[in-house]
Amino acid sequence: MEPRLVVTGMGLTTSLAAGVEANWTALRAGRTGLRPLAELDGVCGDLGVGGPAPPLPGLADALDRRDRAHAYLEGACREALSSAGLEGGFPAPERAAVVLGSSLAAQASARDFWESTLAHGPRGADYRALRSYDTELRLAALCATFGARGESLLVSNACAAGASALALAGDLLRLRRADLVLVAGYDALDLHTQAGFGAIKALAPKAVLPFASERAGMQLGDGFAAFVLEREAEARAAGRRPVARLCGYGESSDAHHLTQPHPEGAGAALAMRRALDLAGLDPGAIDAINAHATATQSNDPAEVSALRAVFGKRLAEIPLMATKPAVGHTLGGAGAVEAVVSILALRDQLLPPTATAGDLDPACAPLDLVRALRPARLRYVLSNSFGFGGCNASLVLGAPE
Amino acid sequence: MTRPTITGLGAACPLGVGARTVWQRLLASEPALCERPPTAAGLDTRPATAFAEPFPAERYADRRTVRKASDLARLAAAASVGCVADAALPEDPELRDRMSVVLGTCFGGSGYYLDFHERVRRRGPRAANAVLFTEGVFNAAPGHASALLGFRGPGLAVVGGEEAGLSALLTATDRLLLGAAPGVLAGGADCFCDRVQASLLSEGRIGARLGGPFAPEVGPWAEGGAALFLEPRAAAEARGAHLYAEILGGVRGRAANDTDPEGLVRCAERALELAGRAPADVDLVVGGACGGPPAQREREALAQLGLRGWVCWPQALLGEGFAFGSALQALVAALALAEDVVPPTYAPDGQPPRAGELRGVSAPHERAHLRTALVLSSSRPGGCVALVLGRA
Repeated sequence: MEPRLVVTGMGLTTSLAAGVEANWTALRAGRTGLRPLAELDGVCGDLGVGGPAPPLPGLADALDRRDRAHAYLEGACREALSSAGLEGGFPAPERAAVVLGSSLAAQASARDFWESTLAHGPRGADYRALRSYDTELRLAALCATFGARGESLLVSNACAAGASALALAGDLLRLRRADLVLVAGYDALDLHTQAGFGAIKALAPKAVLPFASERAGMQLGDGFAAFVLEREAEARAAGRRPVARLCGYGESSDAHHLTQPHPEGAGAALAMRRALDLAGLDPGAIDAINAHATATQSNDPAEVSALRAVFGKRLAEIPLMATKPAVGHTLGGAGAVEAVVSILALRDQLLPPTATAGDLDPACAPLDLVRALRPARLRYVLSNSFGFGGCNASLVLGAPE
Repeated sequence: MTRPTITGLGAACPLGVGARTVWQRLLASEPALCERPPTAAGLDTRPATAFAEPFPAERYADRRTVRKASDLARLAAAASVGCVADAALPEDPELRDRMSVVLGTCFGGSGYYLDFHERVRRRGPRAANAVLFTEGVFNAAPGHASALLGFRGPGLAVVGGEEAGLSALLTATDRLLLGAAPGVLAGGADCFCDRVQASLLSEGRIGARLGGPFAPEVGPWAEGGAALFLEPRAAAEARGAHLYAEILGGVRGRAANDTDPEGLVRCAERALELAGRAPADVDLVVGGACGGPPAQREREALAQLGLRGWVCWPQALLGEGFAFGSALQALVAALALAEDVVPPTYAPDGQPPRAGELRGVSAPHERAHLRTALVLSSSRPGGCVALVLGRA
C-alpha cells in the first residue's frame, strides 16, 4: 500500500518577509514585495523591478557575497526543521535525506570570478572564485550543517525545480530510501538572471497582471522555501503533527520547445492529470488552484488551455491563486514557495488575494482569479509549475486528517 | 515486481560516437588526449580529452537544435539519440508520452553561461544574449533530448559532482520501480570549457596528464555524454529487446571529505544489501578513480569492503569525465556483464592496478563469467553513489 506523505515543517523567505507566518500575513493583506531595483550586485541604473528578500538579521553582515543564496536557503531550512520540532537534529541522520530544487543553483555566484577577470584579464583571473559554481559543494555543506547523512541530490529543471524536488523527495519516501526528507526549492535574484529574462522580453515594466489583457510579463524575486516531508505513520508515531499532505505529484515534458510552452498546454495538462492520478482524485475534488501564472503573453493562455483540458467548464468555478504578483517569479523556488502558500490556504481555509490583477484577457476568461481575501472550504489544492526545457510539475496538496 | 533493465546504450566522447565504438577504444586502451586550440579567452589550455574540432552534432540532431544548442546539449543529444536507437524503441507516441529523460551534469552549459556573464559584465544588462541565457540553463540538455526523442515524461537535470551521472541513473531506476514511467533514458554529460578548466586546474581537481587510476594528480578533463535506456525487464522481453544488464539496487551516500573512505564503504554496503548481494558475490567493480586524493579514498574503500574479483577504472584512459564519467562507468559495467569481458585499465607503466584483493587487467582484456558488478563513483566534496548491476 502506498504510504501517505505529510509535511511536518516549513520555512519561507521571499521579498515579502523572512518566515512563514510573516509571509502569510503579507500575502493575506495583498501586499507585494516587488519594487524598483536601485542596485543589484553592485550595479546601479535602470534595472527594472524585482523582489529582493529582506536582509537576514544577524547573518547578513557575515555573508560572503558568493554565499548569499546559500545563506537564505539555510535560513529557510532551519525554519522548516524548527517548525517540525527538529531543532536538535534528525532522529536518524542516516535515514534523513536532502533534496534541493533550483534553476540556477550556484551559477549566479560566478560574479566574483567575472569581477576578477575584468580587473586582471583572463590570465590573471582568480579561477578559484569559480568554485562557487560547484553545486555539490553547496549540497555537501548543507548536509553537514544539518547533520543529514542519508541520500542527497539537487534537481535543476528550471522553474519547475521546486515542485520536482518535492516529487523526488516523495519518491525517496515511497521507496523507503529515506525516512525523512529536508526538501527545498530556491533561487536568488541576481543581475545576470534579471538581464537574461530582460533579453527574452519576459519582464514586465510595471505590475505583474496574470491572465489580464494588459499583462506584460513577470518580475523576478528571491525565493527560498523548505519543507520537512515524511511518511504520515512515522511522523505521527514520533509526535510530529502534519500541516498538510502531499497527496500527489505529476511531471511531464512538453517535448516541444526549449523556452516556449506548448500552445495548447499539452504537457502541462499531462502533469496535472498525473498528479491527480497519483492522488487518486478526480478533477472534481480540487477546491483551488495555485496557478503558475507568470503573466507572460504565451504562458498564461497555454496554462488556461491545459486547465480547461483537465477541469473542463468547472474551471470557471475553481478559485485560482496567483502568488507571483506578490513575491515575483522565484524560478527554481517557485514550486516550493507556492506549495507553502497552498498549504497555508488549506490550513486557514483562506484564499489570499492576487496582489496585482487586471481585467481578464477574454482568451483566458472565464476564470475565478482570487482578487480579495476569501474564506473557502478547502480539502485539496493543485499547484502548478512550468519552466524552460518544457518542464511541467504539478502537486496535489491536501489538508491533514 | 519491476526489474529495471538496461536495453540501450549511447555515448559521444573523443573516443568516438556510439557505445560500441567507445567500448572498442576502451578495450584497445588507446588514449584520446589532445591539445585544445587556443580559445577566445587566450587561456593556456593544457591537454584534455576533448574534441579537437567542433563536435559534428548535426549528424545526430536536427539543424534547428544544433544551431543554438550548447556543446553540452549537443553531446547529450548524440548520446541520447544513439542510446534510443540501440534500444530499438518503437515509434509509439503513446509509449513515448510517458518516457522520461534524466541526465546528470556537474557544470551544465558552463561555456554558454560564462559567456553570458561576461557579456553582461562587460557591456551591461541590456546587451544580454537571449540564446546564451536560455541554452545555458542546467536542464537544456534533457529538454533538447526530450524534444528530439518525443519523450513527454519529466525531463530532469540532476546536478552534482562526479557522481551525478550515476545519481541520474538511480533517479531513473526509482521512477521505474514506482511505475511512473515505462522507460527512462538516463546518463550524464559534461563538456569542456576553458575557464572552468582553468578553475579546476587551479584547485588541483584535474591535471594535465594520464597517470593511471592512482596517480598523485587527477587526470585531465574528459568531455562527453553517456546514456543508458532503462525499462522494466518484462516489457523489454515482451518486445524482444536486447538486455545488457539488470539494475539490482543502488544508493546515494556521502563521505566526510576527500580522504575519508567510510562514506563510500557504507554506500557500497547499503547498495549491495538493497540488491540482495553479499560482497563475495561481486565479480567486477567499475570504479571512478583517475588519480588524486579521491582515488586513494576509493581504493581504501574497496579494500575495506573486502571485495575480490576483477576491477576496472575506465576514466584512467580518458581523465576525469565528471557526470559523463560516472555514466560511462555504468555503461562499461553493462557491456562487461553482457559480453563477459573485463575491460583493461590504462596505466602508463603497463602494470595492471589493484585495490585490496581486486585485480585490474591490462589491454586488451580478460574473459570471465561475470554475474554481478558494483559501480562506484564519488565527488571530491563527498557525494557518492553505488549501483549494483546484474547479468540480464
